[in-house]
Amino acid sequence: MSALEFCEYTPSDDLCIVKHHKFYINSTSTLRRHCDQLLITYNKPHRAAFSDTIGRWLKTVMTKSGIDTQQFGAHSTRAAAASAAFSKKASLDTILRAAGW
Amino acid sequence: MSWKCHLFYAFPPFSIISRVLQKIQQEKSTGLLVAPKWPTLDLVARVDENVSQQSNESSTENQEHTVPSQQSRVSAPSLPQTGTNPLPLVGRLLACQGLSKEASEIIGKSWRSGTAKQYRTYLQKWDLFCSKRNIDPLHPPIQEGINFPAELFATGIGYSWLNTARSALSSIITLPGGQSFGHHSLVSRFLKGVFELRPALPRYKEIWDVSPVLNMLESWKLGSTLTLKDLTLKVTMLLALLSGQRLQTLKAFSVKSMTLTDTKCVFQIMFPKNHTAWQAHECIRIL
Repeated sequence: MSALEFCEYTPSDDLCIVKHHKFYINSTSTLRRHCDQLLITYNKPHRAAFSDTIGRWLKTVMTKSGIDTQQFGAHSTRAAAASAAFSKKASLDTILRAAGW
Repeated sequence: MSWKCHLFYAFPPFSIISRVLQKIQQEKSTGLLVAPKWPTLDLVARVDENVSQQSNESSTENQEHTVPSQQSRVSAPSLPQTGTNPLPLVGRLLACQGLSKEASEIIGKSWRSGTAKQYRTYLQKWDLFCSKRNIDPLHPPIQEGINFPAELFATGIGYSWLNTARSALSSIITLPGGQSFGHHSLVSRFLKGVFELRPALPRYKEIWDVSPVLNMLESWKLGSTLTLKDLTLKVTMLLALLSGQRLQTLKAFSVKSMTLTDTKCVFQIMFPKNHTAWQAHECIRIL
């Protein structure tokens, strides 16, 4: 059992995960019925999303932002996040710990 | 008459089952054999030994029927099944060593399902390799244990998969003197050679920049105009980028184990992780 903590991002509400969470929870509260999984499919019947579906969502966003998804899969978000954190001068230790390496 | 060219169906009189089995084994033919489920009888127990994996599932289905018959796809060369160990060869090894079915089942659980799945391929290939050469797969001479990955190497697989094959064999083979197969000097030398020939390189030489993604997501303004689809995509991508976690972790996020305050959102994860060295976390600062 371990905890994963997301903090608010004050410079922009449109990138703040906490605000988005609240909005997402509210939007989905009537749809999720007995489903406890956070991520549920956006089409009816709204059910817990499988890993493959989550991966496809990530690739959709990547394609829309012009990333070559032939070359990069959904799992590359992990590498991209780590590289981005490193270029923002996050310590290696922090990155390793955060990503669970 | 040879059965080899046919995918046969056979419901032989029980008295000749052993001869039928013998013929199947000699010819290495494949087909459907109907036989009684009668494990105490030696001949019929051999049917169990010969059935492939799919049929074992069908045999459990059959237990629900009242008729004690067993429909099994018999194929040669044989892939023996012992108990419900996820790795059949391991099950056979443990049975040879005199462990009870219960004990064997618990030991079987020591391989996570993903690992067992990876190993199973190679253990099946190993079983096949051994039966072609009349080697005991559980106590092979060391040189055969190296000829086998050499044969796999010729099929084009790389260092990482051959290492998986080595681990798979290590799970069943203990060399005289208690040394594990994978640590044998010839085996490690072999793998080093493979690494030189087909090095395992990182998947990516360079990785994409997150800023175009974040810029695009920022342009999807939070509010009632954001569709559920786009909101879902946005939340998923933010979660992935901020946590740097695997998809299975994103899937494990649950609304029940979530604490949401004005400034923070904390998830407790109960998922048994692939890589368990995993303690305190904070999202990566990429913004």
